Amino acid sequence: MNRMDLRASYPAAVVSDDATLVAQARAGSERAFEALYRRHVRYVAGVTYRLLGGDAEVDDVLQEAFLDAAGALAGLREPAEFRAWLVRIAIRRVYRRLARRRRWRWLQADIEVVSPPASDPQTRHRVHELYDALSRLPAKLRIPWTLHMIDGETLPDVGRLCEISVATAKRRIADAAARLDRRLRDA
Amino acid sequence: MTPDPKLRAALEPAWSELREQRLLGRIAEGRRQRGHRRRRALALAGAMVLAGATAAVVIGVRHPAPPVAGRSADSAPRLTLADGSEATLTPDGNVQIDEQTAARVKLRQRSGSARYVVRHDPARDFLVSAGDVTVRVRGTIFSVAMRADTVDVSVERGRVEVTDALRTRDLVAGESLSLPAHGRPAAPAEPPPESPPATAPPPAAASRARAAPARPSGSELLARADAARAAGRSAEAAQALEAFVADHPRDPRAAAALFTLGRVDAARGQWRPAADAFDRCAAARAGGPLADDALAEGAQAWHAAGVADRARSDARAYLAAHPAGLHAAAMRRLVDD
Repeated sequence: MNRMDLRASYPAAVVSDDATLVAQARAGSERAFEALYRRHVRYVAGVTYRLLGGDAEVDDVLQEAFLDAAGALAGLREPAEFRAWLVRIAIRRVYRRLARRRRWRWLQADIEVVSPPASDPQTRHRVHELYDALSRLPAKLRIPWTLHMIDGETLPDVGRLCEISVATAKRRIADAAARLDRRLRDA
Repeated sequence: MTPDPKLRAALEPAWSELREQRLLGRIAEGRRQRGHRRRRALALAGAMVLAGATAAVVIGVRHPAPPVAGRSADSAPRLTLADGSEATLTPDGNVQIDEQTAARVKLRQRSGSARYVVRHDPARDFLVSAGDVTVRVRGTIFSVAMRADTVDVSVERGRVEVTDALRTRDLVAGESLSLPAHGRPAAPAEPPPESPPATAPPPAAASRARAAPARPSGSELLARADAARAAGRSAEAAQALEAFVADHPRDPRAAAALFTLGRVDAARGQWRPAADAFDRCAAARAGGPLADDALAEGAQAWHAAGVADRARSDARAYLAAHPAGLHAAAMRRLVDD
């Protein structure tokens, strides 16, 4: 067993900041990477779930995102911003999934709405209607709108997470809101 | 439009510890596969360079290289299973397959030593029994050695669950454990530097710390403990960890060192010092995730030390705080014991 594995065998819970864990993970510590995973996976799962509108693909997206993150960790310029960086990676994966869904829907002329379940019937109906309307939006509008209106991210954060300018984020959210309003009014 | 502010709260995935653990397993497997692909690509590139260089030498010198003498590592007896897992045996090793299905692989080690490289598969139980000891794994590398009276288990990578007639313990990479082969009281893997009295709280730790003649830096002590653990010198590892904790009680790594010290002491059957180390860790990290693990490990150690009341009270405290925690089932067994 090499030296790095041994250092990794210490429980990581004492390490309090992401930057330290990232530095250890870059040096080969599996334990540090696992600590980063445990610290952030639930949060990223929640964001991914709301963006996708269902649970079926969440684990796949998370797996791809953490694998991408592991491979690109050396290039992370601000280790303290690990969570935002990880969410950006997950969002890139969500873009691809949503685009694929739209292609399939177009090819199959099949309007199967993916929407998350909700506990009470009233909320369930509203959630289904909302995600039905969201499913008609392109990913580049749907994702900023969801991050802003459901996850409560600020416009600058939406811009950073979607890797677009604040002005573009604002324009896309407004565009998405207008389309959603029209569709929900007609529904 | 403005969504209901309660919408976000209603839109959370059904997350659980089990799901989190399964996903972590998938990610670990994915990382291994990517690593293998990268290594294969490098090996292929290396082979091409080597082939080119060899061709140049043969053409230029026309002297064939002498054959390499010696026995290759592949000549060791090896058992390969359907899922790609392997056991490499010593000459006196004897392992038989009791069961091999998609859901369960069960091996029985009858003698000698074997090193197991187990393919990760969360859907399959992989069990190795040796005497009265059973090792349960998901995907890892570990060794089992059958001695005259003991079964020694050591883990190189991943985590295994070791069960004997008395209890179940987790071993992680770098840890080893010596258990009686047939239900007799456990013998420590090596003699401790001094034995703690049966009833007093464990002073062994403090005396170990005092035994160190000079005071190296905290990082040096941890490195020394790491090296000692890797070499199986658990008494030396415990000494270094205790020295670290004594010299650097405010260091952020102190709680982790105490936790590791508890594991080291438990692995060699020093249950009271182990319980004491876990207690100190839980106190140092009150409210943190490590404190929960320390509380549960401490309860197990108190139980093994024969202090049942203390074990039960710690187990109840754990269950009160984490009724659905990772150690909940084990803690309930302690409470009901």
